[in-house]
Amino acid sequence: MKTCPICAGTLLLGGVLAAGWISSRVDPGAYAGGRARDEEQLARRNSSALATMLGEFRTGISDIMFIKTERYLHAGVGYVPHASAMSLEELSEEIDEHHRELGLPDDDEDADHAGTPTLIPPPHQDFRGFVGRLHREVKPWRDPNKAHVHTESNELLPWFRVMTMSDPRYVRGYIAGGFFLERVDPQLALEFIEEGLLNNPDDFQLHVSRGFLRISEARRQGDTTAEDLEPAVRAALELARADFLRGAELMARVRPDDVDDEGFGSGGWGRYQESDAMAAVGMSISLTRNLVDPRAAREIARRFQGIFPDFPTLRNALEMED
Amino acid sequence: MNSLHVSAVARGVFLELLRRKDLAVAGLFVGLYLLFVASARFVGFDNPATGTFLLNLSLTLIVGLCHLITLTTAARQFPDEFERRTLYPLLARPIRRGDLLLGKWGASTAAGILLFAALSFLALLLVPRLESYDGGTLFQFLALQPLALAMTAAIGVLFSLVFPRLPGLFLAAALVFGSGPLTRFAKGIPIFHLLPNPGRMNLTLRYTDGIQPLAGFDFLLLLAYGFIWTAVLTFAASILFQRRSI
Repeated sequence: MKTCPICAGTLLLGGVLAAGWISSRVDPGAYAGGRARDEEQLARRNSSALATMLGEFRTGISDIMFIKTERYLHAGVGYVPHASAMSLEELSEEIDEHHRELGLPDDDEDADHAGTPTLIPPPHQDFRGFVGRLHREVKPWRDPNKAHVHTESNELLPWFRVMTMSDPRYVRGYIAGGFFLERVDPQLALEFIEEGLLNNPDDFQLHVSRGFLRISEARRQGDTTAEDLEPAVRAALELARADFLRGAELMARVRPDDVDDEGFGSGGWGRYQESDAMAAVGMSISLTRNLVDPRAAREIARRFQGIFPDFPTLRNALEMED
Repeated sequence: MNSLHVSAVARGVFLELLRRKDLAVAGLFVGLYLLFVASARFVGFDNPATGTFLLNLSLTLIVGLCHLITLTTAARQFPDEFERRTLYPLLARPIRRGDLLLGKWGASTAAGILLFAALSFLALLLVPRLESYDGGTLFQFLALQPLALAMTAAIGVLFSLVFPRLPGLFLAAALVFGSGPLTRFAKGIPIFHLLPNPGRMNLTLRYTDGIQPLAGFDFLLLLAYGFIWTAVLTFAASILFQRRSI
């Protein structure tokens, strides 16, 4: 049977175009949240014996890359995962704690994270003898009892770029990447977070991140505590306020009702989310009080009073007179 | 199409699979997998998240392995026949080239599906499901994978007819396993959506993430995606094979 070349070509082209249209329309991986992206699950998984057996072979490629960033941060020394459940705030604290160490390795025994086991064991725990010695010589290794040495975060940036390219819904990659990028280029950090928002418009933590970036921008523009704010400073703070308000609204929709005193709740809600939730509400109130008036700040405080009844910023706003 | 001819060719492919000990290799993989799950069970699951992790890992490995075996089976069918010159006596019989191609593609697909069915049955049976997972998503995953394997077999057959044996296999593997990441990386470039991507029908992560099933229309579209690509690729392979001078 002869096939008409034009008919065959048309059929093939039509099929390819139809399949291409479906591919652009349906993506089974396009959903928000999920256990693979959940901080709590990640922390539990990483602490399990099975994860230790499998080393860095984890669920997602973005997950593997996040672990890579940790390796880069520690100058190539592989530690048993310890930053998995870290909130951005904690991560920031860790960086700041070690900032003085940049390029100046310090053997301060009292520094934080000293004692975190390394993936390559120290000599007294290594049964491999010569092979173990060779392993420690040819691979980056540091005595686990000594304080961690943190490299400059620039080396981490490509990993955040690649991890968010491989999974545009990996919000954690955007937030941590934006945090490190801000040290190098604040404008680029803002663009990075905005890309994250484009892919995850309803993620409240990304709005909070952008809010903080805009506050930093306002601080670079001038004095943010002045009575009469300069127009550029005010504009930046107004944008930040809008971000925090949007973040707080989105947070109220997703925060579970059963969050305990430690900040943990159902659906993978952890301290990481809780601290950002409080930041969204707290910053919304503070900025509204400064930029609009105390009454508007009180309205916001009332709106979130049911969620954070003991939050001091919120209580202060409620008690404040006009 | 003569179904008797197609099934005779397919039977030949299966006999060849048995002769080449491919099933023994698959059995070895199954054994290794069982050993892995047994050792994980022996070590124990500290928490439900680890169970989910193992379930995800198992299904991901199974899907990857099945696509690899389907691809290598499909991609060697014609080069082997050309090399051993066994195609000539076959075509001297009253069997059409289209039937031969369909038989070889069908057998490669069936081999992949059988392996997938056996391994995923074992995985779902042996790996404890310690968190909540949506049965609807599992159904969609199980329904889409055979189509994805059929698509992979079609890619293997087509590339083996266009390129020499090894480059063909390499390029086909690059397409099967690389088109998904490539489309994600080049998100803003729509042309990458025109690449056949069997991974588009992989719902493993969606299932182990506990996400609800795809909307009915989207599921139908994905089924259509698999059908269309399989039809396009086998049709293209058929045209090439019909016109090839042997």
